[in-house]
Amino acid sequence: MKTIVCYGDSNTWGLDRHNPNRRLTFDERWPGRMARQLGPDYHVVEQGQPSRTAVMDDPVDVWGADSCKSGRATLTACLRSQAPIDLLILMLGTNDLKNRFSFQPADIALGVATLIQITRLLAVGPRGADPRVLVIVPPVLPASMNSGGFYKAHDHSLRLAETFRQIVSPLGCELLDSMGALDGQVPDDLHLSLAEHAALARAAAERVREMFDVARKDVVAHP
Amino acid sequence: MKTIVCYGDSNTWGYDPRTGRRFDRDTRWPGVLAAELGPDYQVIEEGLSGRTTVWNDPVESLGDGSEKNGKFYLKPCLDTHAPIDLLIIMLGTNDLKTRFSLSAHDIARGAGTLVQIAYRSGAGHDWKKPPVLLIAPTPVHPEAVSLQAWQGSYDKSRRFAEEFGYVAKENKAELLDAGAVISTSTIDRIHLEAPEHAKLGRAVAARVRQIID
Repeated sequence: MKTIVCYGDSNTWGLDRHNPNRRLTFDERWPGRMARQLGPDYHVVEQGQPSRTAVMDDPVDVWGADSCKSGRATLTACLRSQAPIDLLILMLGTNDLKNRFSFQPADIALGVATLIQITRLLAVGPRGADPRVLVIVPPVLPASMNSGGFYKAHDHSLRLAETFRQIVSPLGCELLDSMGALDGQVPDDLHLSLAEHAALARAAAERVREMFDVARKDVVAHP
Repeated sequence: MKTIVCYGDSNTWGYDPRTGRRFDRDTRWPGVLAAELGPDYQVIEEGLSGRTTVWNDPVESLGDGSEKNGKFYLKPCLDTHAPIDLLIIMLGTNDLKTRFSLSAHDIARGAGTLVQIAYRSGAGHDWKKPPVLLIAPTPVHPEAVSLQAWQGSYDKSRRFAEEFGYVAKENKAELLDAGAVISTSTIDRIHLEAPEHAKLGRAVAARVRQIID
């Protein structure tokens, strides 16, 4: 049994783009769909908090007004609670694009890199090892996006994939660009559609299988 | 599908006093609860070793100790799992540590604060408050007091049922006295052995059916 923790924001939680008061069902949101595709040998733990950023708290945000939004501040408690963890999937960075943070794409990538470094201090993998880490680059925001504090965030979001490749990849984690999973089609809302959840789940499940199959081959090759 | 969140410490995480490792899912009490309740219920495990009700613990932390503070993490945790049909809180054992110098009364008050945070969270359905089942932790083993970190813990923990009872009543939360169902291991004097997890899981399941049905 492999334990996979999906640490993310409202797009991991499954916020319904047509009704912000509704959460998509387990079968609709990407971690649930991924769990179905991976089957009973994998235990998928959903840890998506709406409005979560990589490293900044957000006292301005109204969703859960008195909750800490910093993914950095809550990461240790989350990982230790779910340990031992075989794979940590991080999909964060979208909320860091909000204008009030004045973040450049490199700042967002560095924030995600910090989460990986914290993870490696904790030894929350199997038998005290480190968990594997898969970073999903968040989707590009629509060019029309000018509300919710995301005014002109589209341009920065376009540069996330390349910046994550430069800054996050060298830390020895896997990277999955969600725009590849979406065939390059930019979502027309901040929150993913049902079809986009499905496409992301397929790509994530495929990558997870690759990661663990490769691991098994390694074991066979170097007994 | 009903969602139940189990918010606790190492005795919810499933720390095995024999091995120091985590019991498997079917052995720890939230897993037993899930098996008892069946497929219409989703039981979410949120147990963290060393978690207190409302206190940071920098002694057992690489950071400032805030990750051990049950008050700090509760709201993000509830946001993460909303909408929730029932929140189960079993905390207070770590508050008994010598370094916190707390009375049973203060510990139960800390748990009461968590209940109030949950009520204000809007993490139930339609942004209403989720029902809360407060579990008074089972007393530690009488010999725990010989451990430096747990001086005086036994006598205080024997008052949990009464003090948590007051707090549950005040806050109109449901109460379960774990000490009436299970006892603490003689091995490390703090944690629960596998048969105790099974008994607790079954007792909680019976209670959950009363609350939710």
